[in-house]
Amino acid sequence: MISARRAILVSARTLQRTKPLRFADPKKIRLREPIVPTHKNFDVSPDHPLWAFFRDGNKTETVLRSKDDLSTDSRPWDMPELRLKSFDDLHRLWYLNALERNRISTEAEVAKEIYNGDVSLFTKLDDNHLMTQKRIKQTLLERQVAYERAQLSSPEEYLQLFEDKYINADESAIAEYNEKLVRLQYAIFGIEPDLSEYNLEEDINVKFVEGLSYVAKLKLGRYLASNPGALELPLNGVMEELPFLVRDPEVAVEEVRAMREEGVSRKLDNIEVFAFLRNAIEAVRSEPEELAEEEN
Amino acid sequence: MKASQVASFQLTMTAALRRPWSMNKDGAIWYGQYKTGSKRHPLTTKQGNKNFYKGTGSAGYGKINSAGHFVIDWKKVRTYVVPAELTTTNLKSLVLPNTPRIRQITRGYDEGLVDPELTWNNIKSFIEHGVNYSDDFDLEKNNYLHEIVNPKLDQIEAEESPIIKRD
Repeated sequence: MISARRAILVSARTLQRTKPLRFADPKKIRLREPIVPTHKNFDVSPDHPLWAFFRDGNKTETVLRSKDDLSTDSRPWDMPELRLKSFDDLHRLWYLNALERNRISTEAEVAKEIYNGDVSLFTKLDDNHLMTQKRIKQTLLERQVAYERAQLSSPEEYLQLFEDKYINADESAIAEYNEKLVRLQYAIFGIEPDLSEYNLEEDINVKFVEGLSYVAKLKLGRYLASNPGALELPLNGVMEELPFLVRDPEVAVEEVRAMREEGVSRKLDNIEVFAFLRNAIEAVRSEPEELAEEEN
Repeated sequence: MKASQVASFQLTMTAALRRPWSMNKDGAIWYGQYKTGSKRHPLTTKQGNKNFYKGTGSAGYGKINSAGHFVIDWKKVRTYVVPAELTTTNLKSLVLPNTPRIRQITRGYDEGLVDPELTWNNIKSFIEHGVNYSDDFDLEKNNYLHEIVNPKLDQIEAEESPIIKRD
C-alpha cells in the first residue's frame, strides 16, 4: 500500500507545472491549405515491389476490370500439358498463378461493394487458377513417386554395357561418348558437369564417390587399351581417381605417376574421403585464376 | 427501395461499419454465439479452453531466451525462391479455350507414368540424346495423342507377328 501511495505522490509532484500554460493569440495562427485524403497525394516510388500486386504495375489506373475483360473462357492447364514442362517452367507457372490469384482477390473485395456482394465471376476465375496450382503439385508428386520407385532397381547392367561401349569406341566417336559420359555421371551419380557449380557440402556424398571410381575406371580403361602398361593397376582410392574426373586421361596418368613416385599416394580412410575431395576440388577450382594472374 | 437492395443490406460498407448487428431485446449489443442453427464448425482462436492454442501455422521461427529477448533462428525463417525470368517468360497462368487438349497414354508399362522402367528408359534416352530427347514427336500430326510406348513392346510385337502370319 505504501509504495502505491508514494507513487501517486511522486506523479502528482511531476504533474505540477512550474509555469502556467500560455497559448499564442488564436487570431495570429495561420492555417495552411487542408490536404485532401486521396491516393493521389501519396508519393509512391515507381519501382516499389508492392506494385507487383497490380495488373499493370505502376501504371495501374483502376483495380477492378470490367466484366468483359475477365478471361472467363480460359481453362486451367491440363495434366498432360504440365507433364511436358520442366521444373523451372512449373515453378514459374506456380508463381504466375499465385500473383494472379492475389490480384483477383483484391478485385473481388472491391467488386463486393459495386456488384452488391455478387463475386461469383471472380470465384469462378480463381477456381481455375487454383486448379492449375493443384495440378502442378500433382505433376511434381508423380515425378517424385517415379523417382522413388526407380531407386529400387539398380543400373548395374546398363553401366556395364556403357563401359564396354566406351572402352571399345572409335577415336572418331570418342568426343560424342565423352559428352554421353558427362550426362551419365550427372543423371546416375549426381556429378555436375561444371566444376564451378558444385555445392561442396551437399554434392560430395557416397553417390559422388561411386561415380568418381566409375568414371576413373572408364577413362583409365580406355587409355590402357591404347597404351598398355602405362600405369600399374589398381588405382589407390579417391586420391588417384580424382585426376581422371577433372583432367584429360593423359595428364591424369602423369599426375598419378608423379604422386606414386613422391610416395604421397595412399588409400584414404572412409572418414577422410569427403574432406579430401572438398579440399581438392576447391584447389582445382582456384587454379585457372592463378594461371590468369601469372599471364597478366 | 428495391428488394435486391434489402437482401444485400448486410454486405454494404455502411452495414459493415455498424457491426455487430445482433442486439438483445433491451437494445444492448449482444456478442455471444447463437444457440440454434449449425454449430459444428471448426473452433476459432477465441474459443476452446485454456489449453487450446490454434495459432496461424506461421510461428516458431525463434524463442524467448532467459533474458526475455526474442532470438530468431534464421534456419526456420521462411524464404521464398522466386523463379528466374518470371517477368519475361511467355507462359500464361491459364490456357486459351480453343487450345487443343492433349491425351497421354502409356503402352507396355504396368504402372503407367510412374513405372520405374519408364523412368530408367527416360534416363537412358537423356544420356544417349541429351536434354531434348523427347522432342521428336509431333503432337499436331499425331492428332494430339501423346503415346509413350515401351521399346520392349515393339520387339515383342515383332517376334509375335510371324506366328500370326502362319495362322
